[in-house]
This record gives sequence, C-alpha cells and structure tokens, in this order.
Amino acid sequence: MRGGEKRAFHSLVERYEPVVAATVRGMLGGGADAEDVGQEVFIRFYKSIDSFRGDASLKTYLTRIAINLSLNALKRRKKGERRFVGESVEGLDLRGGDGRDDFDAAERRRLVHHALGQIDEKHRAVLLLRMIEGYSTAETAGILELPQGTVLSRLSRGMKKLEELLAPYMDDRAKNLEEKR
Amino acid sequence: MNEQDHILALKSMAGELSAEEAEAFELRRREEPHFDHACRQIEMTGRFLAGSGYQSFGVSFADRLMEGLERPGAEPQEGRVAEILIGLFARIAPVVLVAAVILGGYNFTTAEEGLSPIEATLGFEPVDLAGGYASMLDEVAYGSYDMTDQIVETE
Repeated sequence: MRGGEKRAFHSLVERYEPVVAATVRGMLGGGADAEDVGQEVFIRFYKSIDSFRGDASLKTYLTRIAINLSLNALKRRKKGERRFVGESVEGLDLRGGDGRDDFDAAERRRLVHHALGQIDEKHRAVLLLRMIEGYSTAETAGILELPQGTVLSRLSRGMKKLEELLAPYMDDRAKNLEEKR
Repeated sequence: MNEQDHILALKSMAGELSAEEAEAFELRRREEPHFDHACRQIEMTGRFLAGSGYQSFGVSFADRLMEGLERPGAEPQEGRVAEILIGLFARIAPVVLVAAVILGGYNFTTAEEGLSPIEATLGFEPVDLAGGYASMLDEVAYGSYDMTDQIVETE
C-alpha cells in the first residue's frame, strides 16, 4: 500500500469505526473476537474494494459485512458453547434509590446488551439495526436481505422479548428518564 | 397486544405510517386507553434502546488494523481507496468548487464597475453558445482563428 493510500484508508477506518463497532459489539457483545471481527470487516472491505459499486452507502455496505461476519463468528462460538459474551449486570443497582436521577449511559448500554445477548441472533440483528442503530425498516431489510414483512415480524417478536427482559430494570430508572424527556 | 398492533406502534415510532394510517392510529390511541398504555410502554422501551450502542473498539483501532493490512495478500487495486473517498464527497464537491472559485477569484473592487462575481472571475461577460459559435466562424472566415489549437495529441 502506498503512503497516500494508507493515509486515506486510515481516515476511512476512523470515520466508519463507530458504525462497525456498534454492529459487531451489538451482535457479539464483548470478548476478544469482537475486535478481530471488526478488523476483518475492514480487511474484507479493503480486499473487495474493487467490487464496491457505490450503489449502497458505504455505511450500509460496511454494516452488511459486519452483520455477516458476526453471524459467522456466532456459529464458531456455538461450537465452543460461548454464544454471546455479555458484560455482567450483577452488582448494578439499577433500581435502587442511590440518589442518581438517571441511568448512566454506560450502565444502560451494559443492561441493553446483556438483554440482547439472551435473544436469538436473527431477532437480535433486527433489533440492533432497527432500534439501536436507527436504520429504517427498508434499510434493515436491505442490509439483512430480508423482505420488510419479515423484518417487522422479527422486530415485533424481538421487542416483546426485550421488553420482558428489561422490565424489571426499567421500573424506576427508565420512568425517571422518561419523565425528563 | 397482538402482533399487528405491535408492528403498527413500532412503525409509528419510526414515522413509517402513511398519513391515513397515522391518523387512524392516533384516533385509536385516544379512544382506547389500554391500547394507548401499551403503545406508551413500547415507546418507552424504544427510547431506552436508542443510542445504547457501542461507539468504538477502543483507542488505536485504526492503527492496529493498518498493521493487519500490511500482511501479504491484502492488496487491492491501487488508487481505489482514494476513488471511494472522492466518491463520498462527490455530491457536495461541485458546489464547494464553484463557491471557492467565485469567492477566491472575485475582486471586490470590480463590484463598483457593475460586474457580477462570475463575470469578474472569468474576466469577460459570458456569451451564449450561438453567439460564440458565430464569432468563431467569423474568425475562421477572416483568417484570425488558429486551427492548430484544435489538433489533439494522442500520444
């Protein structure tokens, strides 16, 4: 790689790393292999750069690669019985009256991803893209190469499951958060 | 709440209902307190989820990645990265370029002479295509047009 090319690609990685990190870590949780998958996303993109036609936005294109590689990693994990490496929510006093008015962003993230880890991959991918990363139903369908009806059906089922999982934690804090909005 | 209503609420949150659907949905929320309550719960969960994604793999991710790309077999076609970066900004580039040329080349003292910024930048008054062509024909007819300018070198 020439010097100029290297600098250009470096800046591209810095620009799109948050997108890839959100997708890969949303699908895989923590764990050492999450960053490996993140790196693999950009390496795949770099190797297949000639076939990027610019039809989709680069963000969507990278997200699609990230989802596919994350699903592959989950298959590998299944063989090792390590499906989702979530951060522990033990010790988080999410409902207690310790004087804080709001969920700390990091605590909320840990809680959400702990819950996401308990949802099967096909529903998790839809929830992640549509509810957390903010893609539209049509965009989510495009990334996952699914009909929009299937996306909406999976979204509904996944959300119901997520609501159940989060309900015990949301009683006080989330309502406080809600009242502040 | 059945799946159809649940989907309706989720679509409403994302602004994906048509005007008619949105109107019917809001009317139903006003008329059915249980439905409205269920919708509020979904909205609360949705807002709780929004923005809870991870933002980074940590510091120096790009540096670590570049080391990986130095490994053999990771070479794409030269120039393609720059091409894609250019493509990303292609939509705004013409506007920025025109604005830069006009603002950069405009001598503000010429404003007093009644020239527009474009005229001042170009140094002459733009002529229309027909007028320009007629002028060129006159020059060719009277021998002042240098045809050698039109020879294109292929090598």
